[in-house]
Amino acid sequence: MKILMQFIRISVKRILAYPNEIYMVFLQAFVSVVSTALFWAVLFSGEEAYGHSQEFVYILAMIALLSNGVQELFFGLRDLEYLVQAGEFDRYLYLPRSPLLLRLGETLPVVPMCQQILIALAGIALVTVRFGIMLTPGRFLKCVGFLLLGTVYYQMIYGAVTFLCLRTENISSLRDLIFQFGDYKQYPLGIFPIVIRFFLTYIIPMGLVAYYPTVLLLGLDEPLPQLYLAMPLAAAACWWSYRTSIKKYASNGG
Amino acid sequence: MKICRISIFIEIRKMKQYIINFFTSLMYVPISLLIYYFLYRSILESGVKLAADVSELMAYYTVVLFIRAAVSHAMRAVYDVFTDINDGDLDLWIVCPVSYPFVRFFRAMGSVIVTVPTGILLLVAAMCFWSQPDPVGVLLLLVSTFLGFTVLYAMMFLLGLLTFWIKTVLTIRDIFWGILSIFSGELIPLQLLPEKLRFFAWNPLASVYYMPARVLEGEWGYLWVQLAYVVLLGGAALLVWRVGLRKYESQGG
Amino acid sequence: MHRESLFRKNTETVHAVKGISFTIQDGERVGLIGVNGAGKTSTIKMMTGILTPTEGEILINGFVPVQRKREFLSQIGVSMGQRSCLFYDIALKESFRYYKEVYQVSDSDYSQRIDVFDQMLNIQELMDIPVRKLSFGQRKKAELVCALLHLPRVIFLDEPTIGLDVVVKENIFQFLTMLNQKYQTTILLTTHELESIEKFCQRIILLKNGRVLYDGALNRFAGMEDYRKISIPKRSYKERGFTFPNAVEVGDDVEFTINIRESDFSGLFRNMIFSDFTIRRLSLGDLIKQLEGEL
Repeated sequence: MKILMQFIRISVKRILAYPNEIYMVFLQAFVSVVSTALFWAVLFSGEEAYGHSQEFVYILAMIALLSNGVQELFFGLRDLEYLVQAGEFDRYLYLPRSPLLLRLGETLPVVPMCQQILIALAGIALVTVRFGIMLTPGRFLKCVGFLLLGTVYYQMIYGAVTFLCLRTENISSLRDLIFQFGDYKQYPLGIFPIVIRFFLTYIIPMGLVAYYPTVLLLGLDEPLPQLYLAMPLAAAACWWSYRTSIKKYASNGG
Repeated sequence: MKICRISIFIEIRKMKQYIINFFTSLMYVPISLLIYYFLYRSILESGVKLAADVSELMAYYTVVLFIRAAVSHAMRAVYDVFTDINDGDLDLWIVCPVSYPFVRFFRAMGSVIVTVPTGILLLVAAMCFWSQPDPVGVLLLLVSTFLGFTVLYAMMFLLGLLTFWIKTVLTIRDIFWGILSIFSGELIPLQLLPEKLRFFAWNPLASVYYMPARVLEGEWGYLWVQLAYVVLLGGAALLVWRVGLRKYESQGG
Repeated sequence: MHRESLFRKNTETVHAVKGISFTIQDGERVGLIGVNGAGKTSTIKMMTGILTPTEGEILINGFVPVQRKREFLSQIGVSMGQRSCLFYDIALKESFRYYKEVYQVSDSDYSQRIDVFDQMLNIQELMDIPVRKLSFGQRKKAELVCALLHLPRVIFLDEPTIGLDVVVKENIFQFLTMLNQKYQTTILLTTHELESIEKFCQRIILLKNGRVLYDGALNRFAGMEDYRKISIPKRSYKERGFTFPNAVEVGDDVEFTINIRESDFSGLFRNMIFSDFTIRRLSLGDLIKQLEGEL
């Protein structure tokens, strides 16, 4: 618990060292929302629906932002590869705590995470008021629960790929490929053929962190993906990748 | 001039890595194109009227994505300038009888001097599947892409120079990327904007993707607009550099 | 012309260390020395659990390092001279507080230790300064404090004084000596600064190409006590007709090495004025160069 408080403390102190960053991060989240809203507003241009209602795509955009905020918990994994290449990962190995916990904790961006989550929640509130959507606490909790589940699942797959850098050092192409699929988060899964929908649900699960939580929030009647097999498989892959790669870790620098 | 030539050649020696990165980023083009294809097909099939059909939109996005893969190195400028200023590496530059902005620019140019023509050639090869590309148009696309790269680089350089005043600019860069995606025509073709907002097609960010795509379609007038932005933004970058250098604190020791 | 294949990769196995074996007792101060690429850092990394040895066994306080058990990691302190463990943008005290929690140091122990460290390293005055604003020497001192806050039983220091001035180096070694004497801390140190090794370490392990060349007391290294370096003016050297095979010209003087056990020097300095010649013991650097020359 104490170490967790330290992580939060360091994150807050860091952002206070550069107070402008607080406004900049807020602005960044805001610009992201505006650009998505503008995109859909132009495409809708007065039309009500094209397979998906306006409120669906706007809520989807807000849930995508919410998932971005939640995924900041795993921010430390993103530049793990560069850390390994620079030999900076060594110090996590001789400290008496889990190297991954330390890495994720030290880089936890508390303030940006909270800002994104708040803007997303505000956006959801705005859209529900504007379109007169009835939200219930039950649906909201299901949405958040599924979002968290989807985030963990996605991060396990991402982690399984990322940990390979402990042995091979250069996996940026593969990692960037996964990142590219992040663009799919913003779009309703229904526009894609079934093969792509399966891919985006179980392989690179972008659908789990945006589309399906949106379905749950709006109480739509759509079957949810079954993760009973997929989650344990992803967890096993992630664990195996880490354990085998750390044994082959060769460090860098002298 | 000699130092600029040498700067370009230094980067050309690293071409292997740049080419690998370029081809890797081209691999992602189909992923993005797939999204746009299914999205716009879904929209147009539901009866929505847009100012272009699916094939025109796909052609547009193909051009934009190829150009994006070719000029992506310009995005590094913010980070390079930011680290030079914050880590004190700028010391090594300012004690040499060279102009830091020019050397940095020509090094960046060196990194794209092969990827841009390669990207254009691959694009032309891809375009042969749906149209007959005009050779003059392709040549002017090449020129337009280099101009767009210069405009993008100048803007990124300016953002990096803000480090003299506000110490950390990486979030500003991320904000800029968001704004760039809207106003450059990357996210949505600017001709799809409502009538009242069509003037955005003339904004400087449109020089990066939208204008080159239009030049390829025969609207060569945009070249002059790009050139004007190169002069304007290049001048602004040099001015801000001079003013900012006085505030340089040279960290580290 | 060497042609590189696009698809096939030529690999070569390089043994960073091979067949090294040593035992270090509690409270020893050991210098691990050797030229670049000798295997010093690789050895330290294996002993701290960063690298997994391909063969052989390592035990530190009864623990196998690569298993990275918490009890083991809590007993060691590591400072890699070229790597920073501080949080760059925030006040130094935040980094200290962080490592206090990582190592689960109690509040009272933390305050007490900071006071002790402050007496030797003057760190209290740096506490509220962001790390990026500290000088290089101040940062190195702070790095050391982070590594030692939990008073480890064993300290591994990889180039801890690299790039530091004489005064700061002196401070750091006095501090390490205090820790060793007061808490019986075992210290394993790698550095290229052989004068520091001579002053601080009782024992050295000399590595070359991943192998141990010498492991023992410093004063018995390569017959350290047996040799002396003599420096006399060139003029005198020529006048006396000296022809030592290892003589080298250094400015206006000639330097050569003699083994005082093997040679008779009664006539060497006859009729010479004291100010005309100097005699000194060989430094560790001299001995290593000599050994390198012989091998």
